[in-house]
Amino acid sequence: MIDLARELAGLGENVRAEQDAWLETEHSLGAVRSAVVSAERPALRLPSLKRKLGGALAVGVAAGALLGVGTRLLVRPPLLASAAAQPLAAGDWIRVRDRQVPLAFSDGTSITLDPGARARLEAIDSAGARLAIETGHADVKVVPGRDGRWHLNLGPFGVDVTGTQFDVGWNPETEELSLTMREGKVIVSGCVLGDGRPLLAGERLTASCRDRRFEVVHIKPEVAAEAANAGPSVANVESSPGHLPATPRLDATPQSVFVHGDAAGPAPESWQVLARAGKYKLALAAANTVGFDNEVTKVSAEDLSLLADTARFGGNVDESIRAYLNLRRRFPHTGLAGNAAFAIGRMEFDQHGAFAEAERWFADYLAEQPRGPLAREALGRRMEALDRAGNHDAAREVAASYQKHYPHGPHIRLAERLLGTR
Amino acid sequence: MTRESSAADLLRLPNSGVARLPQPESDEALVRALCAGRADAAATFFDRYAVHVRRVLARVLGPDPDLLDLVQDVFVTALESIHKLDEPRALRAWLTQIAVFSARTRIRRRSRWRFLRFVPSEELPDLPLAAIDYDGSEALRAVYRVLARLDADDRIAFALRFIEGMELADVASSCQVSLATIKRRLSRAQLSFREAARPEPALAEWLGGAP
Repeated sequence: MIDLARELAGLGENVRAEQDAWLETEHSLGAVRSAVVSAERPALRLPSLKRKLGGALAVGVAAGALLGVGTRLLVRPPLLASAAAQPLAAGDWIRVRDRQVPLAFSDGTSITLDPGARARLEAIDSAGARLAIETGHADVKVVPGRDGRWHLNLGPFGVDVTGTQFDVGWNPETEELSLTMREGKVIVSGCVLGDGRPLLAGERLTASCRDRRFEVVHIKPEVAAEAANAGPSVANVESSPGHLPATPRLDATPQSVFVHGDAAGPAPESWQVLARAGKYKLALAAANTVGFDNEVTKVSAEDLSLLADTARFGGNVDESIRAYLNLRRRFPHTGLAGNAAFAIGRMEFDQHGAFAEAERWFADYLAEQPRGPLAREALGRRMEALDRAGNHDAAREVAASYQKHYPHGPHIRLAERLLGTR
Repeated sequence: MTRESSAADLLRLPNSGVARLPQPESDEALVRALCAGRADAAATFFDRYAVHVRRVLARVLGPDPDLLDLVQDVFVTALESIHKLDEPRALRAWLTQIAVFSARTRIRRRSRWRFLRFVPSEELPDLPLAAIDYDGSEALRAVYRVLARLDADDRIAFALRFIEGMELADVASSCQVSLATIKRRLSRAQLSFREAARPEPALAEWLGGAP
């Protein structure tokens, strides 16, 4: 039994070595982190990567969430709010003159209104608040709470907030909403955005109710932070209970509607948004709707890599290979092009069983990125592909190289077997 | 224009601004911050333990297209029930227990599907997504084919002990059973694994030619 345990420990070591490499390349935690950190607790399950509700775990979690919410509702007092050291109550108006005014809430949430902004605290309770921004810009930092409920009204648009940071602006003259996400996620609804559209960190939304259009662009986080920092200085406030005349609200359901050439309705999510949320099959369907082959010829290198991954994880190997090939053609000599070679090789190997073809792609990767992050895997895979293709002499040559460079690598046993050293 | 305010402005607005507290270093401080709903605590929690959770799940389940979903599930569960954690210093062990519970649920769900289809697991074709997600050798695939034939509890004990390399006491704690129970499970799992590994030639290399 002791020998068997030792044997199994050796086996476990091999599994561990392979898995660790595989986990880093295949299961990046970025998207999960974003969902876990930003979303409110009960809603965390909604933006799941490939959500499948049901089962004991979901029931257990739901019960736990309900129990938690119930407990907190019993014990938590309503939040307190203030602006310019003046207590703020539901129904109060805030008009900002020449300097920014931070609205401070007792849970740590702050909403900083820019000069010229006008807002009304519509409601406040233990879980959050509802604020109507009649005009102007605000910098929003909502502290994530397990049962937090924050909502902003901006003309015909609504923003549901959990724990997140963003800049938002509403211009009633042009009927235009702008929202730049710095962290987390919000749901924006109303007018051209329909019942709700998620917006994630690094995305900037502009939406015009009058023109029946909206646009989401992806920006770098530092650009978003910079945008957040470009504003006037703090403070001068006018808070008047109750009766500042409101800017007339726009009709939330206009008669004339045009979205992407279609009739009115919730705007479709872009394949990029869906893919970044891990909804690969939906993302692939969305990409095919707008034209997969068109997309591969015009999107950026990063998006093209994302599209190829989307097709791969969405189950369409041929489309994935097509996207990777376009990536290599359009952006040669880049790290992404090298990764594309490795990915194609792996699909040829795993999906098509085309070992000779796969071997050439792994060789291409190694030629382009001999010290790249996937070099060890590529060399091991190349050796395995050569062996499977029946090219044993070449496989032994690669095995010798593998043994020299990666004596503890996950393919070392194969290398040793090919070399007859074990 | 800048967002900086003068001292006079700050005096007039004592409640304005967001103070950023230092990151809690100990698990106890982290649990306190999580219970208090501190904005950055969830991020710290995730950054500190996400890799560990992903690893535990991967060790037990092997290649799984829903691995990241499960990581998310574990953290959601933990964040929602953090106030129930009696011993904050045991945060890591508690989180491991949640991960093991999630993995066990996942294994049992797979088993239910196998039963409903009336097809032995080894005869089922690989799911396309699993195959696509997967990057590893035939031997690794064989390990998890063999593990799929073991009882769920035995499989978990095996994976934590031999693949993750946990100490016996930690395996017992992660599975929330006694040391004696875990020893029984491991003993059973070793024999079952060896038996089930016999028809897997790819495992010969990793088992020193034993099968």
